[in-house]
Amino acid sequence: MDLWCKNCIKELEAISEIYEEWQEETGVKLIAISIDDSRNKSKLKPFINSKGWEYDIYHDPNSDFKRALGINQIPHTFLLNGKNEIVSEHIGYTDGQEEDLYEKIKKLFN
Amino acid sequence: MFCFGLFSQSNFSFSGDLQINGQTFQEDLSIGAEKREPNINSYLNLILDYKNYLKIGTRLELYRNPIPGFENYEGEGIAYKFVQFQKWNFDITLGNFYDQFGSGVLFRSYFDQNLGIDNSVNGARLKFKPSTGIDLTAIIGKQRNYWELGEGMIRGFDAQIYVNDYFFKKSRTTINLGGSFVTKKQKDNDPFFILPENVGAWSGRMNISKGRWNFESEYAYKINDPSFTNNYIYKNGNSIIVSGSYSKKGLGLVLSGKRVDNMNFRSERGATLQQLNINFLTSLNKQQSYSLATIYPYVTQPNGEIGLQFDCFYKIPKKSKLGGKYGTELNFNFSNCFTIHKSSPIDSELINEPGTLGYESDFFKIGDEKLFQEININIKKKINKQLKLQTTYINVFNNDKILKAQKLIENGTHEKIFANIFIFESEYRLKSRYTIKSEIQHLQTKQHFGNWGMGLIEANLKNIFFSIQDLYNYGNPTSPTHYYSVTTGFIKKSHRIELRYGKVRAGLFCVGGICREVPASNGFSINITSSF
Repeated sequence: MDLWCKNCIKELEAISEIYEEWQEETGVKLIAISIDDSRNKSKLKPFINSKGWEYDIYHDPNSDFKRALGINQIPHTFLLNGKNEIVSEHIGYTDGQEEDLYEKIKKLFN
Repeated sequence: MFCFGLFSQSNFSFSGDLQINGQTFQEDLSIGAEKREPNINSYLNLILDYKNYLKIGTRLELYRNPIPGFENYEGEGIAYKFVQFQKWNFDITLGNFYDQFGSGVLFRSYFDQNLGIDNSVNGARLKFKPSTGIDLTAIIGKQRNYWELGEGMIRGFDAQIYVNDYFFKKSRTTINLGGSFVTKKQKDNDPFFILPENVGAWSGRMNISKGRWNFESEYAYKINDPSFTNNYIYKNGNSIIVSGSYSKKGLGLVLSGKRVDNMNFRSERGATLQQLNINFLTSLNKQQSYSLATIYPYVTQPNGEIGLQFDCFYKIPKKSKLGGKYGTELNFNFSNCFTIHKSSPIDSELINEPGTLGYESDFFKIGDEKLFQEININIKKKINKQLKLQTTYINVFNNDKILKAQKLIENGTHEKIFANIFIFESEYRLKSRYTIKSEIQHLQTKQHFGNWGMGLIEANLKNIFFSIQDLYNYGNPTSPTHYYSVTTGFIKKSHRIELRYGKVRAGLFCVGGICREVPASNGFSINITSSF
């Protein structure tokens, strides 16, 4: 994610509304990684707090992690199973896509 | 060339990403677009990883008919390749690498294909953690310059210390300290001046946070570095950036200030534009995404700038009177920037004369010219399960006389620009994964090209997207013009393809204060990205 990437913010917002339920039902954990460069670094924490998000947020200021994963477009969402293997991924976000993601999470849980 | 069958899956892993951009250019006199040969920019990144401790990577690039300013990229080849070994507390990279010290004020190498920036260092990097809480990095090499390497040799060292791992372990106050030292070396072949072959710079930074408060600061100093971009003056350089923030659930406040004095740092004295930058100077203003808000951008001034930025992020709670059922977001941003004070130095009556100390500058005084100012007010509200609305007002002042952000109209001059921008955006959800978004924007100004109006409708239908937009410069005194375009595309998992047809206005495309000129164009473009 990135502070000026609108779809990234939309996706994180949509999930934040149902995150508590997701966690109760499946124990899933969401980690958000920001690739904002140094100009937005000081804004990250205040911005995220103002939204009331409960995620773990990490900062990748020079896109090292992004490059290592071969990521091109953001938002780029990965779903990992209990063995830390990537089970599925998608780029972009349209309203309602979090429901598809949750179906996959539930399958993994069961 | 790559046969997966030969490798056992659990030890080796292979990944990469691909990007292909193509564009056609037809002549269009109404917008000043020239006919050009179709342009292709593309790259393919490949990374092979063995047991997570050995990595080999490379990037193949291909460019045909690059746009003006990037002609030197023409051709194809490999300008990025590396071998990386990570084990115990060591991480060694040989070949090309990207890295950043602190906020990048002394050293940042990165890749931004859209801007045409790739200042990767070709050499060696060693990262070492002698114990928990201390990260050390040492680098040496030359930077990429299109298909060659810059002349200057860079050497650098950085240390990052997480103090709480040693002192104040149980404290709720977190303290991080860091420092770096970077030098560049280039032979002096100048017939007039005696130029320093070795230029060194150092910086110190700190970050303290406790509960809702956070404070960080970074100071950098560079010895004399006469170069083309500072007119060959012998003045030293320095910069400081300071930022404080307060945040809690529902509210975030940030106040930052910076001052930059002669901090252009390149690995070749004659380098210009975006070539061979060793460092990256943070610009303190809002990153804009709405199209009319990007017409008058701020361009970082490494030779001297002083400014501040304030942000407030507030969410009026859900179910309150003003907030409504879902809450309402209010965001406010203010930023400005000025030149720094300059007076004649002890060895000259004039300012900025080559071969002299250049100027003297009173640290706290602001210079004569205001460069930029922006006020952003944004309100976001979810009305119901189907509808979300957003309104933005932007007041911008851009000193185009100095920033030279815009192409000029016929017989026009660079001037100080005052503009007011209104934006209204709505998003309507038809059903899951089916949404329609619309935007209306208006920019009012008495300078330069005059007023603009803009409209956009975008439909996202599961994996397909489609949009139509028009930017109409109706206030243009000589030729009111429509810049319309149609876009469509498809996304599946981590692959995306986008096709566009239409007109693009001449202007600046900026990321973080670093800009590239975009010529006016009319034609087709295709953009394919894929991660695998």
